[in-house]
Amino acid sequence: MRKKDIPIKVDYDKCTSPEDCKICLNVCQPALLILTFTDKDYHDPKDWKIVPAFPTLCIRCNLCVEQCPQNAISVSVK
Amino acid sequence: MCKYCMRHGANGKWYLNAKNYLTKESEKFEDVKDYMEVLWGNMERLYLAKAKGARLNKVFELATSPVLGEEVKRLFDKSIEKTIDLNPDPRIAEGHVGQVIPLEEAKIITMDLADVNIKAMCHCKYKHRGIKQATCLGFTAVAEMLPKLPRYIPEKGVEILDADKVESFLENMNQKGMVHTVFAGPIPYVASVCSCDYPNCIALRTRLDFGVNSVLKAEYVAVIDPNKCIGCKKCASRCQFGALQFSPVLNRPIIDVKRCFGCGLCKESCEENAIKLVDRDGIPIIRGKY
Repeated sequence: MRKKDIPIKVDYDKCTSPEDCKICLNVCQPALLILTFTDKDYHDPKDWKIVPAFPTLCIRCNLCVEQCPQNAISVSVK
Repeated sequence: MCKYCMRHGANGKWYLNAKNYLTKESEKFEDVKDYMEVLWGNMERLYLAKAKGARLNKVFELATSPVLGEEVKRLFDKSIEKTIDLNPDPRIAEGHVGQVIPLEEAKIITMDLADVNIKAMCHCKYKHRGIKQATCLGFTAVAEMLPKLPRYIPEKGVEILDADKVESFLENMNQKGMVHTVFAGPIPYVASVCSCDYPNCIALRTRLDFGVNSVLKAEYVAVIDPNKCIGCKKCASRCQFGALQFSPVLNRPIIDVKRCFGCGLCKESCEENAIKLVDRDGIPIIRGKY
């Protein structure tokens, strides 16, 4: 799968504190979104990010898009 | 017997071989401790770690493709079989293979073979679901390196479990419907016994979704005795692998041995003892398929 085909995008300008929210992790049915750390400081979960690890598993249920309080996630319908 | 039992089991199962349990005096102990520290320290980033220039999540997705997939799976098998002498890379979990085990064997491992049982947070459940649960039991090497990784320490603090507590802990996990798995770090040394559930477990998710051998099936399969079954359906909700299906026509479950991982969760829920675990190698169609 090429990079431009990835159907799930997380806007990190809007999703600033995933550690306190974690709603998308809870609602995702195939559990393809993961909370993972950036390269710098992995001991502090405050710096971790939501990353769509396996976009090919997405079932397009749109639960994460609907439930996100910041409207930070977008899923293309392709 | 699985391939790891043949190599490291000394005519038995690799996780029941006392040689594969490290003590602090062991020659390899420091190497294994360092390996475990880097492995657990980078576990949340595992899907995004780079193996030979490609991110692991892309490698896993490639494993489902029809032609290239077989080669990817072969390379993955080669990397996960690395022992400590071959310098496994803990950042991409080389040598960190797992196997599903039934409850009885989880009890033997934790109560008889391991000298320390330390409770640790599950990184898989946290990274997939944001849920903090102390469902893992680490042994000597884990107990030594755990204080350096504060996010794995449960809220109540470091807890070392004695035999009675371990038994009730494992039974509690089983009742909740968690699959017991034993993990090597690196193979053949036994590092931890975890309580996993699909899809919130790195190993079960990669095995079931992408077909790579990150976790092997147990040495057993579940077989049902149709005469004893009373059709109470208690086992029906327990199977995580899609192997046990309750048939309304027969009023008893049917077990697909090809899908069965041999975790024994259905067996534990059966009050009539209608389900038993038999040796995987005794059934021709799945002999040697782990």
